[in-house]
Amino acid sequence: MRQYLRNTWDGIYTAFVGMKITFKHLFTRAVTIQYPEVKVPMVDRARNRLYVNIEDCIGCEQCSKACPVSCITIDTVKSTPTDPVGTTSNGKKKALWVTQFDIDIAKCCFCQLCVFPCPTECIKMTSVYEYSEFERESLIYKFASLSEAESAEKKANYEKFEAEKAAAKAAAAAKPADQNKTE
Amino acid sequence: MGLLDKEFSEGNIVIAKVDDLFNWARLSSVWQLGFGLACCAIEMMATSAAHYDFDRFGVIPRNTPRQADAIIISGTVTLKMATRIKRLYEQMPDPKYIISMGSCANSGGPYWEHGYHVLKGVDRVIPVDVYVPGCPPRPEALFEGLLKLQEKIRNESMRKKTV
Repeated sequence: MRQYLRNTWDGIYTAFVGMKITFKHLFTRAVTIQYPEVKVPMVDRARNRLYVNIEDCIGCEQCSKACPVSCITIDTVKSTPTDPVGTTSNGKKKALWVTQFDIDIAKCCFCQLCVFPCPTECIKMTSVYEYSEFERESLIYKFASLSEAESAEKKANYEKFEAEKAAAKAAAAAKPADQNKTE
Repeated sequence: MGLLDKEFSEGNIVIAKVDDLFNWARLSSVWQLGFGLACCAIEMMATSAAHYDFDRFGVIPRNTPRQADAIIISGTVTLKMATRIKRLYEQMPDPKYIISMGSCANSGGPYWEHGYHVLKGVDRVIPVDVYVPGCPPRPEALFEGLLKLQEKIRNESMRKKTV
């Protein structure tokens, strides 16, 4: 009987001990972050959406080689002396037209491995994290600044230049041969 | 003819008002199917917990697909799980919505190239409404996906879809 009453009292007492803690929390500040109005500031090294400053890109494809999930697709065309690409912001001369620079953000794992090999520091992780989309295709980010027509033009330019160079070389090679024949 | 069968060909003020009411009711109580697959599920749980509190937007995890309006595909969809996801989706009552959360559900993520066991994007088995990128996405990113979904629900109509 005594044991029974003690157990009952223990049950009531321990319930009150627990409720005391619960009751205390009524007076603490709410921890909820009111998200769309209040946003948690991101740290500087936060790894979120990738950004490419295509003006500085030299088309070396080191980022796409470093990417463990190969979500970066780069296509380049060599420039010709008559139509130079220009320079990067730190004065390095660019030799390639970047005709395609696609990052499939849906595949990206935000590992930042593409950022370190970049010689011009043009590919960066930003702190933008709100970019959900309704379509899967909208998550493929196209960073290349050239239009399709422009890319085709650059490609044709390069092919023409190569053909001219080859023709000049052939002519130069043919000339001494002709002289040999006449002698 | 049910109200929700999208068989009204013409819009009028009654339909517009009923649309508004229905859409408001739907978007403010998106009950989600409590369904976690991988590491994204941890973020989804964090979103439901006190700091982010999914309940503020009327998102309550339900334990059965028959009571759920939305399903958050949170994580890697293995080929074995894909059939289960399909079955769960078919058990949900219309109108139903899908949020694909994280790289794995969007496109297969790190497994998209060599993963022999992973479905390359959950949109291959069920129609996805909102894609939330991230690996895993922050709770805020999932919130933003939900807000996008609410925006989508707000613009729905009972009218027949015009071509």
